[in-house]
Amino acid sequence: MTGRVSLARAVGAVAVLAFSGAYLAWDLALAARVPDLADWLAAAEVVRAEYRDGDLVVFDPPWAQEGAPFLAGMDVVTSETVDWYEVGKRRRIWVLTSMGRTDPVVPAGYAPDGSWRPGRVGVQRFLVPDHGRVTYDFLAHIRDARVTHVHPDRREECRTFRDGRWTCGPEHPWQFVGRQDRDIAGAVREVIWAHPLNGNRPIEIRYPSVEMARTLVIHYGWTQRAVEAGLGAPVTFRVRVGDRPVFERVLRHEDTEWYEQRVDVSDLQGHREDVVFTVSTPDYQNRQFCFTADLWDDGSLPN
Amino acid sequence: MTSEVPRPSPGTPRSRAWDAAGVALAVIHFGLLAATLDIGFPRDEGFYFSAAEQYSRWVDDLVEDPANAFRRETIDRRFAANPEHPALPKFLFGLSWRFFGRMDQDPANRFWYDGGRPPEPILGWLDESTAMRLPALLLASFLVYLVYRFGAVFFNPLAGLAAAAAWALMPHAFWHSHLACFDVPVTAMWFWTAYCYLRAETGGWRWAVWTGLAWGLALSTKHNAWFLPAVFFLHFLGTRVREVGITRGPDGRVGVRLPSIPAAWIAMLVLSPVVFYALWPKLWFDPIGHLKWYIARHAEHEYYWAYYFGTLYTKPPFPVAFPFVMSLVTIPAPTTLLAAVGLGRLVVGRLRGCGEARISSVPSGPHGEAARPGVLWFVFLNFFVPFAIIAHPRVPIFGGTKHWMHGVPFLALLAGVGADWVLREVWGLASRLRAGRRAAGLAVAVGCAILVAPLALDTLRGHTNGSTYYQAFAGGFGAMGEHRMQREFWGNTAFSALDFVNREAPPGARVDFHDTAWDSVRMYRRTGRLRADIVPVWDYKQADFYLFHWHKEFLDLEAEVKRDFGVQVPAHVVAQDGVPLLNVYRRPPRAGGRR
Repeated sequence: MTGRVSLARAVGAVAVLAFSGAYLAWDLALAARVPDLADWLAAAEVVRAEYRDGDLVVFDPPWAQEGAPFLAGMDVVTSETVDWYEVGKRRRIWVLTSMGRTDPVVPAGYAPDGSWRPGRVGVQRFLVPDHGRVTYDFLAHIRDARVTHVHPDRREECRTFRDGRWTCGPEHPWQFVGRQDRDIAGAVREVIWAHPLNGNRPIEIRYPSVEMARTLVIHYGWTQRAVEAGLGAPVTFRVRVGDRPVFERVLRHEDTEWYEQRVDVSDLQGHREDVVFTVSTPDYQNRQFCFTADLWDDGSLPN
Repeated sequence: MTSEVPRPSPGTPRSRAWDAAGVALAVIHFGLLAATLDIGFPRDEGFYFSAAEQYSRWVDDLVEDPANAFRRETIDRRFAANPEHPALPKFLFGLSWRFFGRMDQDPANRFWYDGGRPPEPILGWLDESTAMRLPALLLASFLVYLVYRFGAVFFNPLAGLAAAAAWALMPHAFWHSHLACFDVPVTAMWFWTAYCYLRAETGGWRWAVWTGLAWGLALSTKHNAWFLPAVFFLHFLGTRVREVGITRGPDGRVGVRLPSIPAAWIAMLVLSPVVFYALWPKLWFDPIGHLKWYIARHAEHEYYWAYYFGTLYTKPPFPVAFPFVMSLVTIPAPTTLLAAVGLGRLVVGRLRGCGEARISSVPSGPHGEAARPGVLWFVFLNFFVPFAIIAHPRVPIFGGTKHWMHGVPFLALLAGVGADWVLREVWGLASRLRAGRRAAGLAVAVGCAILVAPLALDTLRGHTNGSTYYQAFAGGFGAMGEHRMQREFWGNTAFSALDFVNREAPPGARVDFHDTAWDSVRMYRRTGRLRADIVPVWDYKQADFYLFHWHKEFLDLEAEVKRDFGVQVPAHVVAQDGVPLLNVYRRPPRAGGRR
């Protein structure tokens, strides 16, 4: 019995040593997979040699961006996570894989178009499936929007447009509607900032006479700051095309994603309609609400 | 041949050899710290540099006009900076700076100093930041010896040595050990107080007096020390409650029997407040008022950001598991396993000795203290309480690991007990296999190497960014990106971008240092690490270069900088194992070559 116990103890001790040895081996393996600057430079040269305007470079894993400086002058995704919807607007992408990854994770339908491995950074090129064409990008046309604060007794038209932002009255650091870069649901996104007014007074963002296409794709959500703060009240977001309400959502504090809504407007294709986005809340404290919207001429949209 | 390494008695040559090994480990630790000072100045260290410089000016007052030095106006002026922490560490940093510091005597750079001029150097041996850090390095090394000593006395010397090595080779603790901050000093003071207290439990006023003095110094270092009495009280309850009872005298009168109050408590009540008061000049003229402010300041501390598994925590409730999980992923896995083995060994020993207060399976120290009940309970409490405090959902968690670091040396003690067990079993196995004594010794040496090598590798590789370390089984440094965890810890990474900035910035370039504190930049400048003509600014719209410290909460700001500069990618990245910690953005030259 004693012999068996001592044997078990000896096995236990050896197991601890084996654990430590395995840890050391894994530690060294992790260090060995890290690319150095020469690896990144070699990969960047591969991309640069065949890069075309409209291409996009992404990292896999997305956080392994040490080689970003070598990609100066190209379009590069440097967010924590990749927004594949936005990537889907491109025709061709380059994926730089590192940290032991060799098969990049891309959405279904992306066709391999080339693969290089000049060092510890892999380079893979993909053709993005043809999703059709964005016929109208509401963010890009923010200047064409008419922004109105709807008070109980009057409508206040915002007349100041500067740096891509509409304000009613004097410029304001956050009470505006317009272009903004914000960290939302794990990625810094270029969005239309639409911080609501207090006391259930809607902000109306009207795009007049927009030529309609087949599908209206809307994205919306809170900024990271709004999620952290958790203040204020839920925000009601409504979308209308002409006189037809096409979407409504009450966004609560716990709704922290970057939500997508696809609206079939094919029956209006070719018509010109006003598209109106309305944002309201009873309590606007830290309610940093943002959205984007695109009209697509095809139904097979990016994932 | 036996399966047990003989245990030395106090004062024997073998015991002295073990002690010499403990001292040697502390000296080696000091050497390693001194050789790895290429670590940037985090925000808090910058503040303490400035405070230390101002406090040291009080010594000038003391020498030049002693009577005036003790007047309230003088004290208020010299100790105005950083009043929310006791003065002792900053005073020591400042004194070291005055004695050993090599000041920049260039008249053009006088404005970088408190009062518009640097003091005359006394010895001028070290650059200013190293001189400031010297007391912290010494205390960190002293702590390594203390860990050995505790383990040697209460378990056995091998366990002590292994524990000291486990503590010395913890990457986060090693990184913090370099800084002129309070976290490792208060860890040392906590540990020293605990050691003295447990020694005092064996009787004698000498250790009780040491406990009182040590706790006074601990209180004078950082507010963590206020929780020590709770630990001691819980230990007292756990070990002495059985002494409470009902007595019946010879005359039939019934009484209550209470355990005797530990002598250390008396010393802590009498000596510690005196030490605390004497070493914090802000208390001299308004002790109650400043103490109330001090307690309120920390009781109502603001919340910082902490990025933890993809969630940015900014306010309560914080995850209860935070300190435990963070320790699990930032302490090398072999150390954690050894600690679990050590704990198991002590618990099993305690259970086997149930009823007779004998931890039979644990080799007792030279004083036989391990045979006393309560050592395990004491070590566990000192480990657990600092973690439990931070685990409270309303206590700020800051994102780092330093706020419960004073509990970690006790985890190292358990790891020491675990390593001791492993090595003894290896020795025993070699004996059973009838290997010779030399072969058995070799097997133990190989075992030591297998245990120490990963810890040394983790601690020394990437030491500059040691606060960003995650253990290999959690993904290594890559865990920062893979699990979306905290990366850069408070502004120190600018240090690693200085070479690039010094090389690339045109004359008179304006650099926005983002999260690096002004006081830290000042020290970079004074120690020659930052080029003299570079103008620090904290406004990216005015800057030619922007040093973006990668924090989740600042990503919006980075996007604004990129748009303002008109660039998509940084000009330079400071990364650890491929994970960006800091991005340097360069504003492209405007038409005509101007930025």
